[in-house]
Amino acid sequence: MRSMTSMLVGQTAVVLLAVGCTNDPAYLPSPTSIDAGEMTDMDGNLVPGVGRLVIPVVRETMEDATDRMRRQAMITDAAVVLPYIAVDDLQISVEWTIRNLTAMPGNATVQLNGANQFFRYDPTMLQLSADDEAPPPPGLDGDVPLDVPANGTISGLFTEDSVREAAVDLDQITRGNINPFRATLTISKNVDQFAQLAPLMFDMDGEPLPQMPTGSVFPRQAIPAMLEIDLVFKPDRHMVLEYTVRVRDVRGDLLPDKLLAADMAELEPFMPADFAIMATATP
Amino acid sequence: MGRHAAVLCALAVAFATPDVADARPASKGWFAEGGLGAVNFLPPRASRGAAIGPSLGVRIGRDLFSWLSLNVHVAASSHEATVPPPPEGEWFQLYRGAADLRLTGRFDRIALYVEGGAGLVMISSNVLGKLMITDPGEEFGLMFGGGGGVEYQLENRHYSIGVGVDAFFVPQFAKMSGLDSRAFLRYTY
Repeated sequence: MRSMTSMLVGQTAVVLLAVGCTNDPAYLPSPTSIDAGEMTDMDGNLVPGVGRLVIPVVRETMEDATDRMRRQAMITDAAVVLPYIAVDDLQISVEWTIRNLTAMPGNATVQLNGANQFFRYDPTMLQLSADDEAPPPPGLDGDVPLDVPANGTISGLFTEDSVREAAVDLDQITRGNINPFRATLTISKNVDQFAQLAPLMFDMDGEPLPQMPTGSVFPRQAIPAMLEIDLVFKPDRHMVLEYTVRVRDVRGDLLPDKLLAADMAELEPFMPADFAIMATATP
Repeated sequence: MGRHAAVLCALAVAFATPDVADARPASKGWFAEGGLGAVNFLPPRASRGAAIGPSLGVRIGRDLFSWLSLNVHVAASSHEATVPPPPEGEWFQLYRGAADLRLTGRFDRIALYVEGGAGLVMISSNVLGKLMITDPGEEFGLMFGGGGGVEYQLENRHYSIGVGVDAFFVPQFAKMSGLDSRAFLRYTY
């Protein structure tokens, strides 16, 4: 009986320790709420609201850099550059709430875009066809029409799976040269690797031509995590979107203690390049 | 002669009774206590940001005297954050560890106690930062607490069961306060 009691106390202590050691989430609130649905452009179209949040990460330590360079040396392909933070190092989700400020029911869409340490993906920077009636380039996720009741509130979530998929798609599009439609319409969140294609070329009508593999293969450890979350909010009447980015630091040493309030000197600076494609007719 | 002997024996038994041991003596010394219960936060601010949640705790102590014991305890509780959305439906954990003194008064099989002490509290995430209960980077806080309860001694002298309520106060977390109510099983070695 005594040993059973000791075992019970021991097990309880182990459970408490185990619970305490899991990677707990950190919440990064949106710097400002996104207010949209009132302003129009010169053509009378409603101007979407845009929000951007950069996930703060600490500077790469000498040990991490050495380890990354050691792994990099094992990759013979110069096109495959290992990132500081890989897609599986951070688990990110985005929770949002939309408030309809009018007395009429309305519709809204929320589009997820973003950047990794190499490139920023913004569909407005892409032209994938010279045809004026071609569908616009896709966002990385979202764009689902949502009904918002009059003076009502709805909430939604880009799950960890969704953001992981978006991170893989972002790298496939930017470094892998994969057509954004193909990248976003295929499920790649768990791929072990992907093959780089030749840069997107267009025919005489400005339509994309078939692409051939270049021979470069990006392993999963080369796929970078999303470090910037961009939301595009398109309501059809006056609404406000607030969001919170939830991050689980799987490696355990990437997020600064003070998160968004951390000193800039403590944070790793990233300057992702804007990714652009222009459909031009090739004779 | 035989009648006198019988009377003497009866008197001897009657007067010997006060020396018989208590029916339910309680062990004294090292003890371990495990409890399950619930933690509820108190107004004004913490109760707006967190719902009542289940708690689990372990206490180890030593009876210095029959009426005084020195304890250390650790406890964990899990709560749904009820901050204005987003986020919505998120949970956080509160870990508490403290040392305290317990004064006990025993009345046969029932014992009443009061206790008080101080320790540390750790919160698992910054989700309550939205209500400014925690500041950026704040994870640990000093905790003061006290409470009381009642124990019932079982037939086995090593075991007792009981219920207790402890209040705790964390000045650093926007003066967070709460009540930890629990049922427990105690084993005294």
